[in-house]
Amino acid sequence: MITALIGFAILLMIIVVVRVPIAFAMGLVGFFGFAFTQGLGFDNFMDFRWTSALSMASKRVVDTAQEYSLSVIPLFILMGNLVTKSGLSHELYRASNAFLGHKKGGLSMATVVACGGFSAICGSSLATSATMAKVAMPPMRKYGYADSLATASIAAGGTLGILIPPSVILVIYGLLTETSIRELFAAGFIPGMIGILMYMAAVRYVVWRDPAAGPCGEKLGWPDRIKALNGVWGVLILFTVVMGGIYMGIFTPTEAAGIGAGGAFMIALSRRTLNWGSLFDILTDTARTSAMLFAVLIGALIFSNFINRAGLPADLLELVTGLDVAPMVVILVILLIYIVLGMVFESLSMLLLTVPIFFPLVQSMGFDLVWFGIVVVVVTEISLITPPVGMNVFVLAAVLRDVKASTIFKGVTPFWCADIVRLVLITLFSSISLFLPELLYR
Amino acid sequence: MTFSAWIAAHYEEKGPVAWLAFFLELIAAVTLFLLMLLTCADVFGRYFLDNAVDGTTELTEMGIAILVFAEMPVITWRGGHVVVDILDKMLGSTLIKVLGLLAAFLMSTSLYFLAGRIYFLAERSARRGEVTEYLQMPVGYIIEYIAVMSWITAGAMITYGVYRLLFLSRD
Repeated sequence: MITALIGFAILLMIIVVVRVPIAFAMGLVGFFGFAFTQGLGFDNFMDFRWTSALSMASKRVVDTAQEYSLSVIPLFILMGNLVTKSGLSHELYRASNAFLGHKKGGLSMATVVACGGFSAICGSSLATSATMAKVAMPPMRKYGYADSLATASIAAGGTLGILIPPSVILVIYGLLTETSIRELFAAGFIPGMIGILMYMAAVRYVVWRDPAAGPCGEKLGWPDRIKALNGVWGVLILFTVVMGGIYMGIFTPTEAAGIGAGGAFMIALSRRTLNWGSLFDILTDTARTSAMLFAVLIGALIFSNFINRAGLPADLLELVTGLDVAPMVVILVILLIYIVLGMVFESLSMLLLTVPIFFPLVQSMGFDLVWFGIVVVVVTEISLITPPVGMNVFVLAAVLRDVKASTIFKGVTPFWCADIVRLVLITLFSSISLFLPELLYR
Repeated sequence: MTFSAWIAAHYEEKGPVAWLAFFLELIAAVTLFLLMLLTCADVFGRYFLDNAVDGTTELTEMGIAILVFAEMPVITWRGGHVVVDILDKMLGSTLIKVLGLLAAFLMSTSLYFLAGRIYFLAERSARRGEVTEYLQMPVGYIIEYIAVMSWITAGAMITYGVYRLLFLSRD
């Protein structure tokens, strides 16, 4: 246990202080840690037999780069990028606005719903909030919404991107823990819907406290509403085919991702938003993100090899059993650690650093790993809007140059509280996340 | 707009490096597009024509490796990997550059040695004549490709990556 903990401390130091990219830092610490468990020391550094450690790392690189199930990552990202470029976010916002805009704080509620809808295509929170910021901010400004409420609803709504399937983070969690990706996708759906409802409640709370923050928009008649819905059929069909196909077991997540990307390509073609240049941009952008994610994933796998080899999970379990506390207390402690880490770490790094350590412990205490995955993703969502380092807030502040990050953080507080309530619910009632997977697959 | 003007406008790199970046990204982009088409064709064929594309799994596996490792040199020399930057305000820009050099050195060295081992594995696989199950394609080539691209990543990082870090970064 000491070996693993020292390794973890060194890792933290070189990623935070020395600024080594997290993928390489995890790989290096994993590599040298692995070598250390095989007898590497300062005295035999020059004539140590590096072969087995090198082979372990090389195998990880070669196998991960050719892992069939990992092709969901580039394909789902491609689907999200294609849909983003084809301007569907505008239609989504217009449609949800047609139904909600006339209520108090309605435009903000419409923003939350549109973010949720966009998350159903896009698996990234940062992309969701950056896209929705450009779409939802101008109308909210026009109706005189307070900057704090307007931006906070985008920042909070954007976090849904990593929970509502398809989600890149859930795929990565599934690969790290060898959990079924389609079960994770099924499990994320209801918590995501609860998230939308609770964010809407948070908006209601803000306008109840301060009615001037979110005045009513204009009310549309039913014919106009139906017309607004016309614009979103593309997203609806795409989501139904992709997720429905996975849920019903018609195709695997990988195939669904390919179909989704193909469908998004057809939508983009039919809207005439593509030319050779923009297609090349979308493809290379996707390839860059995927390569970055693969690098991080390979690093995390090498690191987790070392953690297991050093026996940390077994020792942790022994420690926890020795403490003689209820398993739920352990989960609560883990969540507390996540919330604290979430204040400083960016979401992906946090997940990759901690999941290899915690998941064997959680599993051997008899918890369901699908449920734990959803809990971890919800905690990660919270970290996206928690000061001082809330990536979603920073992205928004970068897109909307005239709004300060501190304003957004102030506005986001009610949403953050709603998130904590949701986290507690999902943690205590595992059936919220496990209902769909049990219904469909078990 | 002429093609070379498009490259110049599109890539932050200069001269031949821009062309190299374009070439590598073109490989990645085409591979990704083909991956998408392949999966669609496979599913479509299986459900509507009763005839799936043979060896889809193997082709997909090769496709991801080609895609990821074609892009790896470009994102590495551009500093595109995830870095935790919470201390940046306290560290000061000179120190950040020095740390960047250290990181560049660590990344290149580790990739250099790792690629050596991967290349060894590739040769061994080629010697044993390992082929994929369905299409009978030699496994060694793709592993060799991963090794070579890792070397290119290491080489580009320690040369152009360091040059970019020292002279081209904005701050």
